[in-house]
Amino acid sequence: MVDALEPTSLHTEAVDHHHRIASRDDREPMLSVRHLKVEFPTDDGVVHAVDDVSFDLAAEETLGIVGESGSGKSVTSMAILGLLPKSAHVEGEVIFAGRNLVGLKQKDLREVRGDRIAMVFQDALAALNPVFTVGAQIGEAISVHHDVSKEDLDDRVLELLDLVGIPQPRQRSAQYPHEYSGGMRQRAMIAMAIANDPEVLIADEPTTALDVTIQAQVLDVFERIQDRTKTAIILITHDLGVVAGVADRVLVMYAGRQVERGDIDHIFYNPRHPYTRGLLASLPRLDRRYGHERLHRIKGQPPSLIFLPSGCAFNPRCPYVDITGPCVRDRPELQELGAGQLSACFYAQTLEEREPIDQ
Amino acid sequence: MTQSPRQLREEIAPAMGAMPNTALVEAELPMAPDLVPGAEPVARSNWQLFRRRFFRHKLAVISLVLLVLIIIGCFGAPLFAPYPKNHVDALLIADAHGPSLKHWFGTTDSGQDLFSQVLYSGQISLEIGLAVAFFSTIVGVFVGALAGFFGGITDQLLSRLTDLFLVIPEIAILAVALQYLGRSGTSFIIILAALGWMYIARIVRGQVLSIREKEFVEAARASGASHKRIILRHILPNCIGPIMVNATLAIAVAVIAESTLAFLGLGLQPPNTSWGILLNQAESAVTDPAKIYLVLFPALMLLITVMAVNFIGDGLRDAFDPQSTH
Repeated sequence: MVDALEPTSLHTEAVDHHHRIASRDDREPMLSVRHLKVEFPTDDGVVHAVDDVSFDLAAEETLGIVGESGSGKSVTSMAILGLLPKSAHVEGEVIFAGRNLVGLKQKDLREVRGDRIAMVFQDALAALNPVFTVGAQIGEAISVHHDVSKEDLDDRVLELLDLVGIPQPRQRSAQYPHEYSGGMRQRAMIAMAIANDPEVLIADEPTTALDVTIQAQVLDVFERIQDRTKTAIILITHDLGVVAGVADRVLVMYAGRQVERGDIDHIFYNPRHPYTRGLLASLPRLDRRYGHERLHRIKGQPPSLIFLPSGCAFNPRCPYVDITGPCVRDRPELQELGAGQLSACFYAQTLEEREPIDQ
Repeated sequence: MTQSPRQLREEIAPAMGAMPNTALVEAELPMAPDLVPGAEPVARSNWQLFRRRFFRHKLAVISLVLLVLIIIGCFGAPLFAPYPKNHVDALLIADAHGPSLKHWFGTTDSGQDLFSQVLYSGQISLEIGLAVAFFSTIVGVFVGALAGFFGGITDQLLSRLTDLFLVIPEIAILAVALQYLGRSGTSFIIILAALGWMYIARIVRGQVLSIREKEFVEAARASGASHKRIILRHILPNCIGPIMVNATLAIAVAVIAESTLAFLGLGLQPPNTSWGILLNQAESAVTDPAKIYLVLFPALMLLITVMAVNFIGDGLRDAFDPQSTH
C-alpha cells in the first residue's frame, strides 16, 4: 500500500540511475578500497577509527564521503595515501594502478602522492607554507615529481592559477599565502593539488572554512577541473549540501563504519539507513514552516571508538532500534538493495514503510 | 535633474579610484595598494622585499655599515693602518703614550701604534668569530633538525649528545685541547665550534618539533616530498629567524671567548695578535688609570662588533619573515 503511494517519477529516475551506474561499473575502477581497517592503539584501548570500509572510484566520478566528526572520513583518506603515523595499524587493500598501496614502501608511495593521487586540505592557510610565495609552492609541488626548466615551471604555475580562477596570476603568484583571502588560498591549494594532473584528487573538507558564496565558487572550480582533466574526486565533508551539489555517489560513515552507500539521488530521496535519514531530517528546509518548532536532531552522542556498542554501532541512537532483535546482537553487513544502493541496516528493506523521522 | 544609475556610477567611479570591474574581484581581493587594478601592478622580487624589510630596521642598517667598515678596516689593515704590523717606534719603546695626532689611539707598552694594532688584531678576532659561528651553526642545525624531525630514538641519542657537550667545562677543555692542537687560529675555530653548536641545536630542535606538526608539512608529505626535501625546503626555511639570531650571537660569543682566553693567557700568543691579546697586554693600565686607553680602544672595538652583529641578526630575522610586511 505504501509502496503504491510513492511518486512514480522516482521509480523512473531510479531506473535511469541504474543504467548509469551499470555503465559506470563496467569500467575499471581508478581506485578500489577493499575492507580498509585502521586501528590506533592507545593507553585506553584500541581506537577503531575505520572499520571495514570498501568502495570503488571510477575516472571522472565524484564520491562524497559524509559523516560527523570522528566517523573516520579523514582517516580513510590518510590511509589511502599512507600518511597515517607509524603507530596506526592498517589492514585491507587500496588498489591503485594495479598495486596495493597499503604496506607499500614509503619510497614507492612518494611517487604516487601528489603526482597520481593528490590531496586538498581543509585549512588552506595552515596547509600553505607561510615563508614561500604561492607561486613557489605550486612550483615546488611540480618539481618534487618532474624535472622542469624554470621557464616551463613558471608558465605552468601561471596556467594553474588561471585555471582555478585566480585573477592576475602573475602578480598573485609572487605573493605570500597571508596576502590571499580565504577563498583564494583554497584555490591556490587546489592549484597545487592538480599541478601534476593527478588521476585521483582527495579533498578533505575543502570548503568547511569558507563562507557559502566562496564555497560555491570553490566547488565550481572542482567541477571545472574534473571536466578538463577527468580526475576522480573523493570529497570528504560533513556538509550534505556540498555533497548534494557535486557528488555522483555518496558513502555515509558512522563510527568508522560505512552505513550506506549509493547514488546521490537514492541517498537523498530514499535513504535506507536510519542514520542517513536522521542526517537528512536535521537539515533545515526552505519548503517548510517551522514556527517555534526546533530542527530535528539525532539524539545522543556518537559512540566512543574504543568501546563500540555491540551489534549495530548506531543502535543507541536509532529511533527504529529493535532491542530484542539483531540490532544489539549482530553487526549488520552492507546489503545490496538494488540500483547500486547498499545499507548496513537489518531493516533496510522495510525502512521506507516506517514513519519518517522528522514528525 | 535625476541621473540614471549608469551616469551616477560613471561619476562616482573615478572619485573612488580605479574600481575592480567584476563582482568576483570586488568580493575577493583585499589587495596590497600597489595591486589595485588600474594601477600598474608591480611584481616585486623576493630579494627586493627582503631588502625593504631589512632596511626598515634602522639599527640593523647602521650596524651593518659599522661592521662592514670594521671588516674592511681590519682586513685592509695593510692599506689603512698608519704603521705596519708589529712596528715598534724606537723613540717610544718601553712606555705607553696617550692618543695624539701621530698615534690616534696612543701607543702600547712596547711602543707600537695602538690604532694599527687594533686593526691588525681584528683580523684574527673576526676570522675566529665568523668561522666559529658558521661551523657551529651548520652542526647545530644539522643535529637539531634530525633530532626534531625524526624524534624517537634519534632524538634521544642526539639530545643526550647535546647535553653531554653542554656539561663539558669549556675553559678546561679549551686549555687542554689547545695544547694538543697547537695555539693556532684553526685550532681555536675547531674547538670553539665543537663547543658551541649545542645552543643552536637545541633551538632548532624545538622549532622543528613544533613546525613538523604544521599542516603544510603534512601537505608536503601528501605531495610526495621526501624527508630530506621536507626538512630542507619546508621546515628549515621556517626556522631561519631563530637560526640567524643565534648565528649572530655565536659570532659574538666566539669573539668574546677568544678574547677571554687570550686575556687569561690561554689563547693565542704573540706575535699573533687579537683584541684579546691587546687587552692581555694592557697590563700597565691596571696600575696606571691614565693608561685606560690601552683597554678602552680594543674593548670598544669588541663591543661595537658584538653589538653590530646582534642588531644585524635582529634585522635579518625580521627580513626573513614575509609577514612582517603589512
